[in-house]
Amino acid sequence: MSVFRKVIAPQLTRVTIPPMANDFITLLKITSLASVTSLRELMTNTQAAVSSSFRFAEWYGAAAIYYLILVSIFMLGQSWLERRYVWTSQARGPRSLIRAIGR
Amino acid sequence: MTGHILDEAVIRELAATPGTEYVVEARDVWKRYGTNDVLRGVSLGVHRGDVTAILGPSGSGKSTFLRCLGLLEPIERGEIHLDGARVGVRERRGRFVPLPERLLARQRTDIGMVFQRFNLFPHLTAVGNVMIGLTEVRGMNEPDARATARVMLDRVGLGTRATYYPSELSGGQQQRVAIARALVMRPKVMLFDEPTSALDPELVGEVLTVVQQLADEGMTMIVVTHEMGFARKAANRVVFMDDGQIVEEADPNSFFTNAQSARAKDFLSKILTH
Repeated sequence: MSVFRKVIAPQLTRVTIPPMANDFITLLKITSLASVTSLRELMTNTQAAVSSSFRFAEWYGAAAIYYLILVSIFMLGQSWLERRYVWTSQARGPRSLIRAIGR
Repeated sequence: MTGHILDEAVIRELAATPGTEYVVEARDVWKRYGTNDVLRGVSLGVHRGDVTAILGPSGSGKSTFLRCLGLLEPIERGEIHLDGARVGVRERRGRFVPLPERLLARQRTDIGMVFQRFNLFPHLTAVGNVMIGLTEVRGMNEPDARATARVMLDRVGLGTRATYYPSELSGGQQQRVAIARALVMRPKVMLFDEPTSALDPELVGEVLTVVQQLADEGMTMIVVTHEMGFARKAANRVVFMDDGQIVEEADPNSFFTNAQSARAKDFLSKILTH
């Protein structure tokens, strides 16, 4: 029936957003560990650039800024989502997400 | 608060039907949790328009009994009848088996239930809470359901709070939303499970006023309560339970002034002294 859609899903989403978003951001940060394998990601490329130019501060600094920007974007998304699930009559933004789940 | 809570047509109908037949009847109901017999053969009949108060110490099975009547708990033995028809089970090859959840849900629509902790949906506004039964169970379209829900909220004195979420309402207001949510389905009987136990003392009155008014309008009600004053004033019958059984059944005045059973006397002496 519509019990899951109308009753359980909204309440369940509310409690799962914070831990899921946290885990997601953690996952993003530890992608840097993939540089010890042969996978070419941000950290691998940074280390390659460092080893060819010997400009440690510049390259690692640039990498740090990239990580900061990426994580900040996801954090904004997280806080937006969390705010959408505060059930008060005042702070109501667009309800599109709840509707998307509701359909 | 406006003049009446129930629809005028319903009030007239209730006044016209003589209360000779049982609206709800429990026959020898047994309920067990694990090895613990919570209800041990409870039988109770409630006539149309009756207001029955169930009293008793904690753990006596009052709330369990109410939940069984409301078809929220399956029972081990016994029968529950609603308006003359047995509910909660169906016949299969000569035996009665519990109904599947979907059919139980349909039978529950005739029973209004109000809980101690309100149990409102936190993600829905007051009007959303009241209308969800109409749209999802009754299949009413949204504008009609919203209008009906608003009328009911207005009658319990919450017309101006319709768009508020439960977290923004006081306990008394939340409980009145819960009462409106139950009433909007036009139940044959209302079951109240300690409706004021979770409220601040100053908020108890506004809820009891609504319940009292429902009683005056002829609604059939069973109220589990610790409000002795309310039981005495609003109820026309008091049922005293202890240890999973009904120990005493009497009209409120004789119960409070002249209880027959030793257990009831003991209970009353403990709560009426302060």
